[in-house]
Amino acid sequence: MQDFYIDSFHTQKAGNTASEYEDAFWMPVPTAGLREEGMRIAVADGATDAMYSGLWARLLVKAYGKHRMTGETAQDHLSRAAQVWDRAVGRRPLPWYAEEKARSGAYAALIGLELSRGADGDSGSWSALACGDSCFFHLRHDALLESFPLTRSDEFSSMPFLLGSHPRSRGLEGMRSGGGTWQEGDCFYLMSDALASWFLTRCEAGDVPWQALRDVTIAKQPTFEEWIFSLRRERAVKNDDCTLIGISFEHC
Amino acid sequence: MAYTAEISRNNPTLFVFLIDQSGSMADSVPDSEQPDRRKADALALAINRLLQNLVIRCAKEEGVRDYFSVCVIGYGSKIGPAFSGPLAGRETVPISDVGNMPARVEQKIKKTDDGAGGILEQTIRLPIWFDPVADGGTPMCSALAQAHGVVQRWLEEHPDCFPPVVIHITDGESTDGNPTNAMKTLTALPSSDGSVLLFNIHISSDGTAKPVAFPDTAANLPNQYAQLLFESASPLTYNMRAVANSQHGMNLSDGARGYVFNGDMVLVIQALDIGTRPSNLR
Repeated sequence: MQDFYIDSFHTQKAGNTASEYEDAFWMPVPTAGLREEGMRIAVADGATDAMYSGLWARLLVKAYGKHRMTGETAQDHLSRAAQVWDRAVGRRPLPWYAEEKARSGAYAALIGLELSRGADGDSGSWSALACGDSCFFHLRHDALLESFPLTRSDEFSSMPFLLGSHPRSRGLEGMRSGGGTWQEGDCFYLMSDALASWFLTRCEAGDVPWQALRDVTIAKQPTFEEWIFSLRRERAVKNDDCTLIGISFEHC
Repeated sequence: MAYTAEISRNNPTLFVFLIDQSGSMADSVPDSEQPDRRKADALALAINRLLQNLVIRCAKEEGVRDYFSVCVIGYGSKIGPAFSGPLAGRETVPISDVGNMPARVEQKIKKTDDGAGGILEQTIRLPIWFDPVADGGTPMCSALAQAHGVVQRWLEEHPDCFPPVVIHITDGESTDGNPTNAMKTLTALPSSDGSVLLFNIHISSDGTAKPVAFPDTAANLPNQYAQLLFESASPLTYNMRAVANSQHGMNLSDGARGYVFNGDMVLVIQALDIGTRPSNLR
């Protein structure tokens, strides 16, 4: 059975402290291996303009990764996650502004990817679940095979449709699912919106942004933080929390 | 491109509220539910609501982030800082202090949909920074000159900020001259990201005129005060128009100006970009 590589990278918005990072991610320990029941990886991105969004993002990746949320079970999973969020937020008395903002709930984008290995061991299937503007990209033979759920850089905005903790604006109607197959040599990247927007912009300009991703994720030259710093300085990415998970099935 | 500077704790911007507290604000406004409602009551409600929204936008789990500072200048029998309570006398105040130091916090019961077919009764806390005031003349030009000084000092310290936003709430009848030039020089003050944005909220006793929000022409405005305030108001930024159209169901053209006649201006605050705002947040 063939090995695979997986690693995660993240950094908070410039000017914020590490504790103010509001993305979240879920990935298995690499030694767990890739079995037929499917390995789950997820990235969530909590909305800045809400409170306790980082907690909500962590609850979403856990619902997908640990509790194996699907499109069909999302309603129940989100209700349970919202109960946890409500309990955590309501644990202590809040000032008037926090009480009012907490009443609106928390919001986050989610991209979840499940990779399963086929019987031959050299290929398999993938399925994805998404809401909002965190994305995954599937690469094969030095080309972009799939971009999900967004496919163009002009689809990114500061007002995406997100999964919410409030029952009145859960956002399930914005949830999308997809699927396909992978084979030996393929790569997947999951990203929160700032990086995903950069990636699609570079693709549209005719570049091959996955070369930079390989340098960062495999060679780690430059480091993720150095790379994001330079992209921000060039204004190639917006100043936001950045999260990246890279997965490759050798030879990539 | 103008009006795209990041608004952050490292690069905050300024809100100036210029509020008309003249004697004419004691006149009533058209309100079928509250026939004795005065313009000063409508103004106090508007400014308390605008400040409440501004604070809530900056609220995070650890407190209120200082994305903005706020200056409130009242004009009537006197001109100057108009906060009451613990902030009385302070000219430019970080939004965290505004949030933490209202004059008082009132409570009311609100019934809302619980999202599961039921009705939920919630106690809402309403912070109050201003009570209605209606006294003296309408020295609008002098008040604009004072606002000009505040904005100028802010820009010297924050040259790259998102341009300061001046929200002027008035019944439109200046008693110390035509304010057109004062408004023009105020909106000519620039940061590296664009010129100062002036929004005129016009509160009128005229019950025959329809409320208007962000028009692109003065053609249908009810009087010369309305036309003057419309002409002097800044065009809405691209982002403000986008939020108005996508989130508030409006259909604003490129020429829409920051002028409101007997209406609501909260979207100006909602439209400022301080990070991802869910489109399904209501």
